[in-house]
Amino acid sequence: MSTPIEDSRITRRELLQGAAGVAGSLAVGSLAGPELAKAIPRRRLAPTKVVVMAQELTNGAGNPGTPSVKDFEDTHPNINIELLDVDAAKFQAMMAAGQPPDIWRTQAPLVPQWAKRGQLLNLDKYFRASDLIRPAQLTPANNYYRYKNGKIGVGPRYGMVKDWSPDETVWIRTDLFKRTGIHIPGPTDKWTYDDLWEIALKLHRKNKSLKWILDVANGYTWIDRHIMVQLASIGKSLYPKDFSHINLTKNPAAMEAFRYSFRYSQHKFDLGPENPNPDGWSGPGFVSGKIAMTQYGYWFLGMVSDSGGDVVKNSRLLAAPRWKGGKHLDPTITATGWVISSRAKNPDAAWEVFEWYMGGKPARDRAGIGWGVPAQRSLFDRLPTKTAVQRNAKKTLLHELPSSKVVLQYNPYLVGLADNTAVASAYLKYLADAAKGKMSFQSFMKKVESDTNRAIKVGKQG
Amino acid sequence: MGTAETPLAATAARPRRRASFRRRETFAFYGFLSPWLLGFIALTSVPLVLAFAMSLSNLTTVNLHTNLHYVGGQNYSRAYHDHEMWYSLQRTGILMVTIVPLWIVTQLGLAMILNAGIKFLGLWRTLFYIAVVVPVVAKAFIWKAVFAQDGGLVNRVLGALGGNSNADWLLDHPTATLVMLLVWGGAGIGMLIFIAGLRGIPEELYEVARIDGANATRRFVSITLPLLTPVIMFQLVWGLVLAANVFVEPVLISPGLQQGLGSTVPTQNVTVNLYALQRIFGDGDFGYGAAIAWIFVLLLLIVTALVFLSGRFWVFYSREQYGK
Repeated sequence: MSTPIEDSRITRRELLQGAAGVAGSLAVGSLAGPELAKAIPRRRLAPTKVVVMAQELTNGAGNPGTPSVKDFEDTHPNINIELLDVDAAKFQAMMAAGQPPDIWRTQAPLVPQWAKRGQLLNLDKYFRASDLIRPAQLTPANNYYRYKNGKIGVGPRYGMVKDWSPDETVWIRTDLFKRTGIHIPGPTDKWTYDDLWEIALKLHRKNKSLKWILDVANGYTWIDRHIMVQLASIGKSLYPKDFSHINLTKNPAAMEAFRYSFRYSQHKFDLGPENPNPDGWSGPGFVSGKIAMTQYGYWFLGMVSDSGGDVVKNSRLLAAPRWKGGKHLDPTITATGWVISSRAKNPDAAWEVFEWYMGGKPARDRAGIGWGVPAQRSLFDRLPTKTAVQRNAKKTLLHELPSSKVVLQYNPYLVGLADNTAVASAYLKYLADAAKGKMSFQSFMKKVESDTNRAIKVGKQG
Repeated sequence: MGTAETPLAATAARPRRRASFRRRETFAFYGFLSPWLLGFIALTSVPLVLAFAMSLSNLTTVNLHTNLHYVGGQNYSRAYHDHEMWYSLQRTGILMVTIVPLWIVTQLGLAMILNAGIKFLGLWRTLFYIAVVVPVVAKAFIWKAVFAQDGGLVNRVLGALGGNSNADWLLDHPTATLVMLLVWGGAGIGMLIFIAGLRGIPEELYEVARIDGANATRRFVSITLPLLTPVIMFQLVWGLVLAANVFVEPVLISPGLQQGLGSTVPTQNVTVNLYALQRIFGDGDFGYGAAIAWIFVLLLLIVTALVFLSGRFWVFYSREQYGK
């Protein structure tokens, strides 16, 4: 673990302990190479508090994936963690008032808006000094936390993923396909979005009682992210280089991609507002056998494994389908992780908490339970392989990793905290009316375009 | 002198005692009022002023330290040209003119039933009032289950009666569904106030009317309604304010509750409050959202003032009620 930076009064005993520590560090440093030579001087922190808004520390206390804050405080007696419940409105108000939490959980599309405006702490010096997190070990998903001169994936690191997945893969309930005669691709088979549509259509014909065939883009909250991947695979984009507006109604490739997803709503195969699912996401429906397919990443293995029994036996992870004429791409579209505020009252203490969760015991524990791919390659050997579905998922994951390196360029003018961006919010707002035929697809897209451009205009004010 | 001084001293002391009593009363009045007054200043007045200041700025979630500046009436001008804002105002107005009369009629009707000396009064009162104590989230989920397209109670009943059992109430008739929820959920409190009003009407008036041969309708029109007009006025103003501020229920009964802040609320149910909320916490556009909120506050003040003014023509205040 790297050491705190801030000063405080040091007793003679602590001085002697410190001297021994420095001698030890130098010895280890000489063995470890130049990384530690750059380390920041290590001193004891004055008693301090770190405010964290991240559900992974508040939800599911006692579960294997939920670390104990007390464990941290026992080993860091001078740092007290104040946990805030995740609340989008509260967060927005704290940000607008210039008093954000010291650390908060976020996702890839939301990082550039803050990085662009200097609201995130440049963590490069901390990464260089860390014994627990090695930049050379970081997987490409972490590049979503780098930003420089309008480009995501380059420049300083402002955070990192807690775990991630190639998110275009598809989970399938094999038992719902029994006796339908529908061919299900193997874990690494090449297949396309047209194949996926054909499978959905056939399954609906063979199994009329099944209400939800496929969860498209997590109930459409990630619709723009999926479409960005589809467009990236054919060298297109939703935005021009200056991100000044969204290219939609005059962008045939984007229109075709949106139309593809819209077909699932028209046929009520999805979990959209016109075919609502009471759970709000497809996890519970999938494990209870009410949803046949969901386009989630490797991380969903955690849900499958935790459910046990038939779910483990009947779930399979498939490689990402290819978009028409495109190359095989499967990046993370969530990259859920943490950032530290540039206005953190005690950045060194905030880093201590960050480093503990991202590189310490919590990270090692997380790596073995299947709720996502570890942020560091060094933890890959902990991926679970006890059950058939875990081995299947690992096989698919390893197949997808080479296709996961692409970094999507999200619009830095779309501000907010909610998991769904302005594009997804607008899409959801008009989807039900469009799916019911109350407006044409063209009008639907025009409204999405107009709402998104309004949000971009607002974001440009900052 | 001494005998002459005593009455003089007594008369001089009386106003002093009265003044001291008044001071104590005034002190007690403000003492009891101060918790509310302090709360009103700190939690309502100050935020109102700050929201107004915000409405004159370009504040967003991210620009406090980068590009925050005064924009004058720009947000108000933008709202004037924003057809979605006008549409949300119109939907709010429709809710107000629909719900308030329905509330008053339902509440008065229930109060009259309970005031008529029916059997099992406690049971009926509990049944009518129970919707008030059910939390709004639970009420909304009950409503979603009742009006669900697949297997909802309403569609099952309609199906059994040979009607359309596949109606999508929550999406095709969102305002009607919302109005029914609000009427059901809000009838109980007003019912209690109407009961108190009904019990305040002197029984002698009804006796005299009966002796004069007035039937029930005549007694209701000529005695009950006029003497209830102060209560109706109160319910009207209170109801208008409540109906104007509806925004939780539309979000809760929308089909995609967990898909972002009111993202899937049908446009017919996007009230002006919800629209302002979406601008603030959805787009992060604090300045514009605050301007919309202020526009709405001003409009609501005008409506309330007009209702109060109209009271001169139809509200009957008996002298006795005010101790004159």
